[in-house]
Amino acid sequence: MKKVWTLAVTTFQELIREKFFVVGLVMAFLLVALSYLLGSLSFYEQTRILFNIGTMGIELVLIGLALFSGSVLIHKEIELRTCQIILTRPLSRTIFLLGKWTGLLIFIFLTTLLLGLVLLLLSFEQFSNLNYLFVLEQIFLKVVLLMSLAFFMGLVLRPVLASLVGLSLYLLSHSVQDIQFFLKRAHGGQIPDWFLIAQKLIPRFDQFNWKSFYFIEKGIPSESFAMMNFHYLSWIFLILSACLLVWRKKDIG
Amino acid sequence: MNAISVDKLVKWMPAQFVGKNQILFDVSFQVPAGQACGFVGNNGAGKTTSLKCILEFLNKDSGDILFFGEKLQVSTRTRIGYLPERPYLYEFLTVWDFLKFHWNLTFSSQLNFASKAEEVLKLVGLFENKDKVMRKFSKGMLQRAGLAQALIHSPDLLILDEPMSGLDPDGRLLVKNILKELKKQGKTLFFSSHLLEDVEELCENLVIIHHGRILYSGERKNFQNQYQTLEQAFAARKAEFQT
Repeated sequence: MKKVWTLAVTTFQELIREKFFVVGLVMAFLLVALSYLLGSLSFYEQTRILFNIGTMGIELVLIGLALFSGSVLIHKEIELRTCQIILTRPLSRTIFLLGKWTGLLIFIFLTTLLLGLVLLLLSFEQFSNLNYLFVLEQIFLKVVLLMSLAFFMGLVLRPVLASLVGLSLYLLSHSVQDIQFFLKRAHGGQIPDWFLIAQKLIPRFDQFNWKSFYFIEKGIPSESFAMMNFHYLSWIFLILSACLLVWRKKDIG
Repeated sequence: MNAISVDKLVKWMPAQFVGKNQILFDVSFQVPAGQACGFVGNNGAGKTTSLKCILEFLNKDSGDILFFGEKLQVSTRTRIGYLPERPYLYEFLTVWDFLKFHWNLTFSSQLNFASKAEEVLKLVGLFENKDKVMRKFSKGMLQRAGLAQALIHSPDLLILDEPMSGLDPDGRLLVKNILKELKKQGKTLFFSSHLLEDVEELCENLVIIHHGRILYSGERKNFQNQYQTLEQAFAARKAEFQT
């Protein structure tokens, strides 16, 4: 456990020094500031606009950071031979990978917390609702899932391709209901079997897309919240297990 | 006793488009404990690939590798220090923090770290720079920081991939002196190099690899035999192999 933590802390320290992190943060602050400005144009909908655009901005920036850092991290370790030095130490490949992944997780967690806090502070006293935390958690888990996928893809593909796979999944998963609608129309009201099977093989971001003021105001049903946690955590566990399987047999160098 | 014993190591690598190429052909050699052994060959001869297979970074296709008579396990790794060719060393850290990072990956307690880190940093001549971030280090200093990392846990065997490559004459001299000091301390040194004069100066033993095949493995003096320099002996053996 200590070795995982040692690796995670160093990975976190490395990630916050990357230029892409600074760029991501600047973009996030700009988007949050934009949501504040747009919100202040409206008298009645100020908070709604602030949170609708703000949470969307936070999610987009976090996904960019997660896909990039997830796909590059191990690739960089192999290319620059840093992992060779570490793996000569008395630790298994599993510990190494878990350490790197945990470092990424801390990075995404603290960034989510920071951006979430900025958005909350901008709302001043207009808003005091615990549902905001649940919405943030949903964004966090979605981003961790995509980060893990990019992490896995980064083990078998080049970083650019790995990021593209993650981005494609994000777009595809958010469009499942739209695709279903068009397929139903095209097939005379019937959804093809292959599509029913295919939609079970990908994480369903469209079912838990709560980044809007509506859910902050009205709340999220506890059943849906539990389902979301189970769905995302299962996928994360599955992808991480696949990472460990591939990494244990991978040629390094 | 042999620090490293390699027996009939075979490695195939995927070709650029289709199929596979054999990189190592029944590579066998021994590195006696407590001595220095040079692993010599031209660029692309298979030195780095052999080292990566030995340390299990690459999966071997067949062959046996033993360290101090046993297979590479987590416990065996505490006896090995390794430095690849020009690695990235988390240069945002100070050399002190870098050593602490590696110490924490090796031992569960912080006990003795400070005294050991001081000893190692003095040996490689970086003690005065212990609080400087490695981003500000020269290439030679980085190489010595890498060596310090390989020595922090007092390994019995030190494996180095081209330790003198890319260094200026002063840097090479410094690294050579460190290696001589380590030899005096009774460590086993196994390092790859294509700089024959360095091997001639430092090593009692020699392993020569050419196109993935071992041309010679044994005492350097026996190999050099009637030739004045190692370079001449190496050229003669290669010519003999090609005919």
